[in-house]
Amino acid sequence: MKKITFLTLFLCTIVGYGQGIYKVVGGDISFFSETPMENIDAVNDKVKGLIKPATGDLAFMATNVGFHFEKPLMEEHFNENYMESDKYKVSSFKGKIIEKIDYSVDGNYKVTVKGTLNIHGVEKNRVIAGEVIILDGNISVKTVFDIQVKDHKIDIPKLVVKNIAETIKVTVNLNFELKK
Amino acid sequence: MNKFLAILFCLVCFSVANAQDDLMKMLEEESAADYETEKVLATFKGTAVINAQTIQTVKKNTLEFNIAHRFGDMDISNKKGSNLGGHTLYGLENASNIRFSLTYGITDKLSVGLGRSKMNEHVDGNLKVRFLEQKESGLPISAAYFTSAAVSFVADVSGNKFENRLSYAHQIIIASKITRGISLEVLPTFVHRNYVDQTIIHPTNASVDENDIFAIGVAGRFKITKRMAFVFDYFHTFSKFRDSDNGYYDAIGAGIEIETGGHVFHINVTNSAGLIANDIIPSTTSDWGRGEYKLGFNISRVFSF
Repeated sequence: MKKITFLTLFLCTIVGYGQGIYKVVGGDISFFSETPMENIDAVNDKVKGLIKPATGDLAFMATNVGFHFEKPLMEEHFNENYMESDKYKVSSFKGKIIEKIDYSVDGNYKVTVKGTLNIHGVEKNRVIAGEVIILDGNISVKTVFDIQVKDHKIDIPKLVVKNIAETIKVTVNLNFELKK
Repeated sequence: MNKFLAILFCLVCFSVANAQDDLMKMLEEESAADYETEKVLATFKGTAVINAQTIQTVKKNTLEFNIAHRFGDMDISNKKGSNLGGHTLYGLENASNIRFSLTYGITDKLSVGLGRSKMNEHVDGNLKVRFLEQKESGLPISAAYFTSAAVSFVADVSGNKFENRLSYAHQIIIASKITRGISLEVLPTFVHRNYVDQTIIHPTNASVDENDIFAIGVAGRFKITKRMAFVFDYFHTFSKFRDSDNGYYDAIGAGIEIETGGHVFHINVTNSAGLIANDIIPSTTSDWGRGEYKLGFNISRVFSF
């Protein structure tokens, strides 16, 4: 019986502790495709994201139409032909930081995040290395990872196969503040 | 006891697994309002359907180079006896009209262009401004205003006056992307020509040509695949002088649109030889019924700066 009381208490602590949620207040997600023909890069600085330090859970998402390119035609093709943005509005990631970090201590922490990446409506389980930076009670998350275009069923026609890389490099750079 | 613990443990695990989804849900709720105000993309491709302007403007700091070509009449169903079409390889050996044009995007919603047509040796300056944007939910239409002023460089004009060479077209383009694959637009059009020959009298109703002509156009785009679409357009001219008794017809066009990277390519069939509203609205004198439709193509290439 004692054990149950202990467990219940323990659970209550977790639930109570878990209320602090941090919210993205700045930063961006960008991607880069490199081929001998041309380089394509795009940035989305309207990323939405949440992080729950108590559990290490994090989630972020970006609307596909929010990615801006150097050339307007690239942007149109990205939305209309590749991402099909009217059908799949957002790209998102939800996951959990595996390492336990003391979020009250300033510092740079190398972490591993295990979760699900959803692009073009196709979910992919991923383990991604990243960095959590704690400074003055605020949290920043940084990571660079690769996406295989074919993993997410993004169809590249033969005609432009030389212009678009099969592997796209994604850079995430997000700043969080405690949500009020 | 153990069972109880096991259940508790499962519950804990369950709540942990769910936490990520909860965060995602919170994000989705937060963003729901944003999607609704998102503007609808790519209602049409390129700046022209066949005879109609599209709702699209050329994007900021982008230059579009366009070549439009109309071969001669195909004359396939000509019943006058001899095989007329065969003599010109179904019009391919003739050129009814050719137009080269450049259009530049000053902003994402305002573009200006300059073109030169073979027909009437028209040099036209044009401007298109998009003033309404269709939203994902909310405003169901986009709208733009298009105008073009053309100077005819033909050798002789009446009185040899420069003002007699001028004509103007004004068009309101109202478009809607109905579904992912279907876009439609309506184009009320007004054309003013400074000079018209009023010595020609309509054979049945005795009317003469008008300086001001009002017309209405409809156009559509139906996507067949991601990069290919069927397109059509139609213009009806409200003019007493312009009916089939006097050899004038409504301009009808149908075609296939293919997008390949930086190019948009159209292959079409139309009875109109004109390539700008200043010619299409007043001067379509070919009859579909008599095989007077022409094969044509448009190629557009964009350059970004």
